[in-house]
Amino acid sequence: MKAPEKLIADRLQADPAVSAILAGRVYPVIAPASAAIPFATWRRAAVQREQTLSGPMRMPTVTLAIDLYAETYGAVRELADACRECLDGFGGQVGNSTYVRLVSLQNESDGFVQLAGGDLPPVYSVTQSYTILWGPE
Amino acid sequence: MSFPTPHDGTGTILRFGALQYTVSNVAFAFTNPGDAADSNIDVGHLGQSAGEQLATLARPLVVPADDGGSGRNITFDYIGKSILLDGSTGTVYIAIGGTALIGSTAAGGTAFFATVASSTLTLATNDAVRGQGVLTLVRTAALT
Repeated sequence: MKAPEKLIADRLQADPAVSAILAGRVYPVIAPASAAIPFATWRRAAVQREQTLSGPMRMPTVTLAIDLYAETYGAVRELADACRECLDGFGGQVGNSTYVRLVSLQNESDGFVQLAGGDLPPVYSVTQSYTILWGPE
Repeated sequence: MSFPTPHDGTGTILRFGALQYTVSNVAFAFTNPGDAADSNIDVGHLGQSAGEQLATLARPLVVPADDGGSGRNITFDYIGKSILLDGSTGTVYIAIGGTALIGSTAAGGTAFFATVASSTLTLATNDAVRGQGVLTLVRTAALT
């Protein structure tokens, strides 16, 4: 997938601190009903592209929302901190035919949700909103 | 009815000296600040009679060469980290959709020489490096 979001998701999965909690349960947009808790999902919340007088600038900014879920508030905050340490300020990395210049955490909010499907218990959540400044490789 | 836009054809390009800039905004002032009456010097004196027309003289060094370009300003915003050095001079060429607005690249055409009047370079988080330049057209010359 030629997308910076995939590079970010791969980085999360490869990070030892995050991986110790999530064990690879990082999904695009929606998690499977069978996913164990805790887990994370990521989705594009917005993409901003700019034009110049001679054509597209080809340096879009993606707003990436990462939703984190865990059974306790302490656990989800710990997971959120690990993700922030892994991603905030990350940049200068090439992968998936993209060049990620800068990832920066813009906003973070807490929540409590009843997951759809089965007999899953209510979980605590943290939504982190990152901007990714990137361009083609 | 169709109106031209800066994006027609090959878009709008701006070259100054040897560099072509990726521009997001160009403003070309067609007012010539040094033209016509502004070039005269007030030499009125007490020896003139009441009601007499004010005495003036043409400036000994006329800044506008009356060539359709001198004194006019071009302000443009560009993306990139090129620095426009204060006072540097080069030819300027602006084209919309492949058609020259000012300047020429062909032999026999008119080259417009401009001097950097001011420039800024902005480095901000989460953005590309951006600059702004103000050029003053100083003279024209025929391309050979």
